[in-house]
Amino acid sequence: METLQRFDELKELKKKIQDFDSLVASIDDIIFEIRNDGVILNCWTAEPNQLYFDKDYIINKSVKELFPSEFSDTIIYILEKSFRKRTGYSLKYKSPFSDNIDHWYKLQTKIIKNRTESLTVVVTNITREQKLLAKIQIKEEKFNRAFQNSSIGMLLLSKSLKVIEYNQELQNILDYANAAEMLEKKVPEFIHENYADHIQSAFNEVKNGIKEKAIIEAQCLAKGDKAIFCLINISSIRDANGKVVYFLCQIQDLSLFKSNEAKLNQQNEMLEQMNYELKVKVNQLESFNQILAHNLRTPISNIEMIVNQIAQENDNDQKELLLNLLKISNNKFLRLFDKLIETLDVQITNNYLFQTSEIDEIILKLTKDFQHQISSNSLTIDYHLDVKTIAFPTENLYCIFKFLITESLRKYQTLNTIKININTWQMDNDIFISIENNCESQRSYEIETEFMKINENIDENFLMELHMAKQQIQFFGGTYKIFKKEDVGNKVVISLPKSK
Amino acid sequence: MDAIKVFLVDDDSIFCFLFQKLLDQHSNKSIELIVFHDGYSAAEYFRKNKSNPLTYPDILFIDINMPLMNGWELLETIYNEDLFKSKNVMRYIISSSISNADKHHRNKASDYIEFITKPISNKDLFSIIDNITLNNKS
Repeated sequence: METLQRFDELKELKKKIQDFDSLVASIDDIIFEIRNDGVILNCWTAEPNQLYFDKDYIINKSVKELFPSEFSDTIIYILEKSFRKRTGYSLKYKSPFSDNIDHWYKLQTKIIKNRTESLTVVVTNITREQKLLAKIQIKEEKFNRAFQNSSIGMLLLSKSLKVIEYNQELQNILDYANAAEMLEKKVPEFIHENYADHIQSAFNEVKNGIKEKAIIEAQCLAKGDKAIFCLINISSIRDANGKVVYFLCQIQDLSLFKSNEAKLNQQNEMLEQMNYELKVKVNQLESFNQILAHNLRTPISNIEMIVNQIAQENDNDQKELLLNLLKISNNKFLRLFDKLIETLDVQITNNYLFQTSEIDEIILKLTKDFQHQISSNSLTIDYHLDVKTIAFPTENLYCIFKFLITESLRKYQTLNTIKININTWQMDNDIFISIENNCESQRSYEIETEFMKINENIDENFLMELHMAKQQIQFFGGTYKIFKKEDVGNKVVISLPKSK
Repeated sequence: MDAIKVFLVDDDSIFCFLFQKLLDQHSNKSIELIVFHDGYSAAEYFRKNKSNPLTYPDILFIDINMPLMNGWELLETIYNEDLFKSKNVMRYIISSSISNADKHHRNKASDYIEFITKPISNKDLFSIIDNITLNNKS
């Protein structure tokens, strides 16, 4: 009976040993039982290759015998301390053997309950973890170097936009002498109020994954609330679950760029102005060429025709008439020539390009010019001016207005009262000027039959000025159109660009 | 001799007078000259008489540089509003000078437009009149 009991106990013990071996086999670590003098009493491992020595060789051998002295002294010291303090210690170390120098291990001493003469030492191969750690450290170092030594401002923010870290360049940009001073502030305090909403929405877009990064031009506030134009690049640092942990901002000072941009814009404006002046000059030269060719050649060609007529004419009265026309043509030519020289002198400068006209002043002048007709009720001048100042030379507008009123009076003098209506208005980028009369042809149209009466007093200079005024409208990029308003009268509409 | 209707649009009254003098020397005494001193007046006349081809000219002489509406603007109005809708009226641009811009205008304009430069001689004018007379007969 007792034998049977012992047999059962032995059987149970064997099962426990089997269980223990299975347990050990499932552990990657090496487990030693070591005595307080450093002698290895036992050893378990699932991978005997990890042991470096044969298992039987190391049992009952001292640590000092197995390992180089420098390493074994450290182990003995830890063991002694663990026995003395009755607590476990750990040590990370590189393999003391030269042929696997790149292997890392972690040694942990563990006190065995109710035993004072031996303890357990667990050795874990941590080579993989150490390599990962080294990689992480390199990455961290790279980031730190890039962050701290960047030539643009770098700012690390918490997800609630609190300043965590920034580099020296940002401190310089924002003109803070004391580093801690910036840490006390929150991001909105560094942003000009005009851009606060814009910046906040950019952070939200990055946070919500709408954008991977947001690049914004905004004014930052340096020390003393000095506004500085900066280019801000916002990106996020996320954890393994994709949640934002930090925001990273790159901040570039655009002050110099902005100043250069302003200079460039100024230079561009100057170039545009010069280009405009040159274009106008070229157009004017063409126009003067045309005026020279037409207006000056007209009396000259008339003279030639008159001379031919005189040569063929037998009637003395007609000869006298032709001689008179010769005189008139000659005078016209001289007057036109003088006028043209005078005009060229005036227009040789560019001043008139940037002249403006006050329409109400022009109307006042016209009212004085036509005072006689207004007083005798043969003319009224009404106006409605939405735009009073127009970027166009006064002389030219005055010339057009005066011609149109004069023509209305001349052609439609049978009407009781000639009503002139002047309006100005703006539409999009153009200014419009309209001059209307009430000269509906109440008569059946009379063909001009009075051309035989040569009027010496016709002001050819005035017609040339009118011609030039019309040309000027085109030079300024405008148009000149004449319309018939059925049952109302005639209407001239001039459009001019709002500004040059 | 067949009656010929000649229209002249020119703001220069001396030229208009001399033009009439030249026409007076033509053997055809049935030439009727009608003068307009600016393009706008001529356009108004053509509009009013658009539906009556009998009032159309046989030849239209137009100066370029005129106040209100210049020669090219008048030609554009005639073309756009089809003011001579049932007759091919020969049109002459008559000017003391023909610039490149004018030639450009001519190329863009419709047919039946020719240039004639001032001063004009009776020979030039008669040649045009005679051609029209011949065309009218044929």
